[in-house]
Amino acid sequence: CQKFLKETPTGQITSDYSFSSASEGAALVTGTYRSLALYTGGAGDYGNFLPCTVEYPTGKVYTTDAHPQFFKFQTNQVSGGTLSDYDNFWNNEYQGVRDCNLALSKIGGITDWTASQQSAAYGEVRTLRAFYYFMLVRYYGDLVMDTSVLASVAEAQQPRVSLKNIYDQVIIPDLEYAVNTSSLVDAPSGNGRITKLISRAILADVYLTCAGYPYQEVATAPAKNWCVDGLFAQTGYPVNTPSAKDFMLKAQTQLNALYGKYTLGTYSDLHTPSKINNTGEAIFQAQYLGGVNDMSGFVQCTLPTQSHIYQAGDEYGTDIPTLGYIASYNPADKRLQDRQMFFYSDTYAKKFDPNQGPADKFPQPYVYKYYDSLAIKNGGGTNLNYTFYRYADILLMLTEVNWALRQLGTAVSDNDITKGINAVRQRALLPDFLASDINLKSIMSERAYELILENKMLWDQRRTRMCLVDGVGSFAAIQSFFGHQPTGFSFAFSAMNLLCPISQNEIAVNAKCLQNFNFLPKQAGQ
Amino acid sequence: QTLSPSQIRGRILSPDGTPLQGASVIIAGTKTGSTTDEEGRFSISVPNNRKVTLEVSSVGFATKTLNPGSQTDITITLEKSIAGLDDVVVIGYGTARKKDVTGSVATVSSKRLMDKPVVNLGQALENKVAGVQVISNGAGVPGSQPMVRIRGTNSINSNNEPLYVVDGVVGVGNPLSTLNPNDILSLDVLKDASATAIYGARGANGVIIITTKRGKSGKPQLDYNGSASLNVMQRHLYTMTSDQLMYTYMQAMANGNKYGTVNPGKDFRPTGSGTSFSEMPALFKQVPTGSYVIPLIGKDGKSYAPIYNTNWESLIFRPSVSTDQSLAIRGGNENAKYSMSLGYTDQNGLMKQSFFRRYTGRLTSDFKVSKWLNVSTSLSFIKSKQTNRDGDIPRSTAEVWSILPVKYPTDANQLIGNTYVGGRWGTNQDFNVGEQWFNVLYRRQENIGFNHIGQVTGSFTTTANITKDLTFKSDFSIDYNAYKQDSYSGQLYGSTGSASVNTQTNMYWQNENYFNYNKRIGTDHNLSAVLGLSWSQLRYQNNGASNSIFLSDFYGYSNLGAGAAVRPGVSSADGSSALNSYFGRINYSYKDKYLFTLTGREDGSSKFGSNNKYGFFPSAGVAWRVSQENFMKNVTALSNLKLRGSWGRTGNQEIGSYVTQSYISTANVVLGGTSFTGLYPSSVANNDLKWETTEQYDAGLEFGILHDRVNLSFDYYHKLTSNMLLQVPLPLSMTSGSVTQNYGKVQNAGFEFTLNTRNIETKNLSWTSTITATNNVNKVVQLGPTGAPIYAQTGAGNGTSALIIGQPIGSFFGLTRLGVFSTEETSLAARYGLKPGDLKFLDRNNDGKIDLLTDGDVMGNAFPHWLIGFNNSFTYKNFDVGVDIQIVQGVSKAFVHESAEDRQLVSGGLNSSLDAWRPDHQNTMVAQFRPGNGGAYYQSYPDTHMMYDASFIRGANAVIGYTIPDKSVQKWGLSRFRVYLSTQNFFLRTKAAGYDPEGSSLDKQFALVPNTDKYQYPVPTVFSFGVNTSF
Repeated sequence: CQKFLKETPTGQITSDYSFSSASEGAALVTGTYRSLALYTGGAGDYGNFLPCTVEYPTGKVYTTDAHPQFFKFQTNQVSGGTLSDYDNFWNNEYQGVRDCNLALSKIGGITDWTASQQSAAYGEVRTLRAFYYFMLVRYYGDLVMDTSVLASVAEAQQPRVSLKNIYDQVIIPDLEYAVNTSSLVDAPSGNGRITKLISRAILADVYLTCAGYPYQEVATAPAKNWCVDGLFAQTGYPVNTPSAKDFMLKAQTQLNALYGKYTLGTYSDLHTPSKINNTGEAIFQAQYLGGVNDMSGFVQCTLPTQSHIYQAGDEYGTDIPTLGYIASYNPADKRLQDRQMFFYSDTYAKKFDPNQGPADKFPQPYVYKYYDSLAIKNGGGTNLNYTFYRYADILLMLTEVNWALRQLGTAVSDNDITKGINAVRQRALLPDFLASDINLKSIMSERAYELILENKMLWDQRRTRMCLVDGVGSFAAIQSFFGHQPTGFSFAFSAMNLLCPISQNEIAVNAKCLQNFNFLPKQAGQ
Repeated sequence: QTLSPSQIRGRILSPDGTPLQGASVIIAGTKTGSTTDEEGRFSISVPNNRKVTLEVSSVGFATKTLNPGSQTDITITLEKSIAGLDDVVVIGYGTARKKDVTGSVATVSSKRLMDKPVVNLGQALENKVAGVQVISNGAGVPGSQPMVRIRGTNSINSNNEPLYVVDGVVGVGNPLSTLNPNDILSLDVLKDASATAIYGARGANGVIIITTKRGKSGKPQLDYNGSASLNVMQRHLYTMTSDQLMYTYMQAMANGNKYGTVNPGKDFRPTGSGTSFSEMPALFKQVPTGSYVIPLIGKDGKSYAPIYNTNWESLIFRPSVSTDQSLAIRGGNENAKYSMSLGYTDQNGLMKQSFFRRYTGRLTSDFKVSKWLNVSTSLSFIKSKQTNRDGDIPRSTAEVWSILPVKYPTDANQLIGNTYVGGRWGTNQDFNVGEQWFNVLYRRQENIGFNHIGQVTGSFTTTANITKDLTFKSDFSIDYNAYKQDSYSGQLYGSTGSASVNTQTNMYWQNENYFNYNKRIGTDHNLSAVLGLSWSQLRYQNNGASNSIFLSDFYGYSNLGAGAAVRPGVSSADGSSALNSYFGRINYSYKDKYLFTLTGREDGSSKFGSNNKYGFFPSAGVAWRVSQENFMKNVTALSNLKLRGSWGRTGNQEIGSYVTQSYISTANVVLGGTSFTGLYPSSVANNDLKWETTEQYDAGLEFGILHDRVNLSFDYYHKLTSNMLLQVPLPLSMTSGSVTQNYGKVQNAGFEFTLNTRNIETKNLSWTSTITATNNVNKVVQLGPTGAPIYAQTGAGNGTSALIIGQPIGSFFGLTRLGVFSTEETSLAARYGLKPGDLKFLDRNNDGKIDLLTDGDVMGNAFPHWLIGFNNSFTYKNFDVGVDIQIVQGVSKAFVHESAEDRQLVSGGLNSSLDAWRPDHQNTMVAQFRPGNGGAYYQSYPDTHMMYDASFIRGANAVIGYTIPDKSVQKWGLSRFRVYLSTQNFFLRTKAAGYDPEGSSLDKQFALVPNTDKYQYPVPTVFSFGVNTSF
């Protein structure tokens, strides 16, 4: 009767299966990409998508639809249970980490592969694992460190470890392996898969981030419980320490390797799948295919609420730059012109008006870079990829790194400082900067203008501990994060706002996981 | 017909002279016997010398013995015995007289089950048996299958439904919706462990054994039962009229900047940039200034008023008619008996195009092959069809603007801004403050889909009488279920149409083999035993396909290939599970006073970890019939007194197959515009997984006085379920989220009380009544490794629930709504970043933040403290009257206001919103009006404001019947003709809001929290007319 009761699953591979063929190896590697597409996923309510959640805490983005509970950000009431904002981000990125851990444990057994193919596969998967962790560590601070396949359920509860360890022991070694050791191709990716240039772009961003906060402050006393106790206080950027300078130099190396490898296209390219999907200035993207796996939900977030311009559903209006942000653009900025980086009006969708006549005038400009017109006007899914890194971002990092190095006493040419930012400004038809015009405010302003709604500002605020103050024609000032009160917010930023709350579900089921300073829900006994 | 000398025929009647169907006539000491037909007639062969004793018994009557002497045609009148001590009850792999049973077993006869027209067994069982709760699912949805709980909820993640055994087929598929109740002869509910342990790993939730009607000796008898029912709305949901809506709109816009930034595109007043009232001639008509109660001024400065005031509820719900018919032929002779039955049920819901149709057929045959060998077969086939797209339509009745028409006329004036809407369906986007909600009739037209079930159940049973005392029974049975679910969402504005077809087939077979031994030793010792073994296996196969982008609604779900989706959906899965079991039972009684039962079952299941495939489930029961004692003989008032006690362990294995395994699953990953297959880790292994075990104690008392005119049965039970098959939530940092582990404990304890009384018994008039009362107290004793509560549905717009140690399963969880911040509380409100007019919640930890889990608490429970049934039946001459009252006490219901009260001006809304805060009306539970979709925030949490005391008293059933006297109907060739009028749900008293205090909306049906109403389907009041005839 033992045989009668034996279970032999037919539809799913069990973990004791021995993977060895090249196609199985390819599938293991492919699996590690699956969480990238979740980056634009929903967060627990109508019109609430994860990229919105990453913008709201900056104070520069708002919503005209009430579902995403933006008032909680305005009143400092967010918690680990605010909709699924913090649960889903946590879960999605850690899912990516686990997928990578599985692939890393099996790649060595793929006997069909040559050593070079295995090395490339390791480089590919380790780059992705580093990227998932990089997303997590900037959002939440200290993290549970998970680098192998879980052997037993008894080990499922793990405490958070210092964010410095996450950088030093996972993110940086993984990316340095990919860049320095792996046999990855050192060229742009034409198909969305990791190449060495992608590893370099992420690594450059990691180095730049480690040259700033909170890494540099934590490094002053790594044993302290920075995130749980809310000890953050240090200001001043660039940080003047040997470690920060070393990271800046390493970032410079990678950015130099990227410089010239891509070209800037037009602003219209940004929302045209054939011009931006794994081509043009795109470096690294979440990959979509309309009708199979698309980001249409997030596309709806950037459209004016219930404006009748979208063929296949509602327009959410949940990811809108504030009026103060838009007023801070130079009026001469090409990006501000209609149908460059913003759009000011549109036509009705066919379902409302078969002639697609002009829709009601919008009360303000809306960001145009996610406007996949084929999807918006014809319905169905969008093919547009979501961009994590594009060349303009690299150019602005290059300027920042070179400017910072000069601030820290390293000899850098004027051209090295300005060549990045001016390439970006030239496309916007703005006058070139001289090296003497470059300062943190001009760099951060340009990043804000160019990378609007690309989920960069929150990381910029956190790593520099500086915030832009709304102005007219330009940002009025750049001021310390501590004490900065965004327009419409009822409170000024303090140390707690440098982190986001840990997922409510993780706190509930992982007794070893403590909550960040001042956030709810707290761990029992915390 | 002339009788041979060895044959006796007769008729068995109840004290009021009505024929008793299904009564049994047995020659004492043998297995020879017969049962009576609808006329109460029987015929039986006896030895020529006629020196026999006949034992005549029938459910609900005292067994009578008589010596026929030379009589060939006997009329026997049985006396009522409500205690039914001589009744035979089915106990699993055998039968026993009720008086000999040590466990807690309740029997419901076919007559009791069918005392009102019912579509399914669940409805029939409701209110009939103490300890059994029938929970309506989907409220009034036609064909919805209720949940049944026997003695509470044992398990969190495993199934809590009882095991159904139909004619020996163990675990038959979906009996609640597919079995034709007309085919049922009797139903036995096994409640305590002494009774259920014989079903071992499947017995923990109680067992319901159903015996269907079979053929009998005698001339063929044809029965026809039919009824027609009218269903009408009982309660209403009060939504905003057009006037109320426009008042709300004007108020909300005026407050917009207080609660955010008004989106001027949503402001239709002259102040806004949105389409003005004067620019929407399709919705607003010009009226003389001051003539409309709300000043709606257009951009042209003139006054306007809405054209339409549509009551969506009245358009989609309307009275409906349902019919039910069944036809049966039964007959045979001593050696071969047969039965055939057909049934057709056409149940129509209150909602348009919402129905359940079922066709059933059943064939049975019983052959006496030789003196020692009997063979029985049965075969049933069922086909049903149910609409499945009724779920989100009720919500649209509340959420669609009342100012919209169903469809716009086609004249040239039909403009909204620049858009010509003539001939189009009205949708919420036309009055562009709302989301994309389609009106109910449009939605009804564009959403079609059906659930189909086809089922064939058959069994072949051989019984060998090895000796006088020993029989051996072997059966081979199959249960084949085929499910198909079709669905099509049509080309609602902007959509391309999407269709899906999903099928599932289940093939179950069992082979059970067991010996039955019955022996009376001397006069004092009675021994019976069962010993057997069985195998069973379930194989399943699921297939699904979907497609979208259809050129027309023409194809519906009928031609998936006509769609043009880039990647049409395909899915399939198959698998199996198996059980191998060994079981035995010994009953011993001494002098009919002291009764003992020992039961054991060893079950092996494929579903469990390689380290724990087999489990053993024992039980023991004792009973003492005190009234048989000599010292009680003088207490003549006391006709029966029995004390029972039992202990036992039973199991629950109702988890899916293969959950102990660690999987690497596949996903489709898009890279560079192409879809690839990726692998990822999807589950964690648990080779130690084993049974969920329920340990149960039961103490019972049965008590009869005044010759059983008053009978009382009382049980107390205590159950502890441990090693639960809990989906232990795991950290998502290290795992995919959960693993099924044996963790946690749940306790149920309660009382059951049944009182039968024969209040009046005269020749022409009788009145009997039954009161059943059930009380169950549930408590979660232990949860997963951290003991952390497990929350479900924590988002706004839900009835949030929580599993918390020390609290019962079914606990609703949420914030305490204190009211609305008043103008005096401006600074207190500011502490939360809020304003007077915003909702005020209890800040339990007083930290200046409102957080659902931190500040929330248990708000009520979805399972009642008390279930009480009060059933009366009267007969007066040929009239019969029944009245059933149902009382449910101590239960909560979440009526989710979020979508139509908290979110003002996101959609149509409930008129309870009109109680909104105003500076001159501050003592309220509703926040000040604000434009939810016009740039204002709103607060919405699961909270006490949505909780209602859902206790109720319901007129469950009232029936009046008239049986036309034999002599009149015999002229028409009939042996029985009864007509009746009945009504169900004829009155309801409750404090709960919504259509009905029971049930959930279709998308909020949760087994652990059954009472969540987010616009559930209404429950009708039913008026029926029916006939029962026999030919």
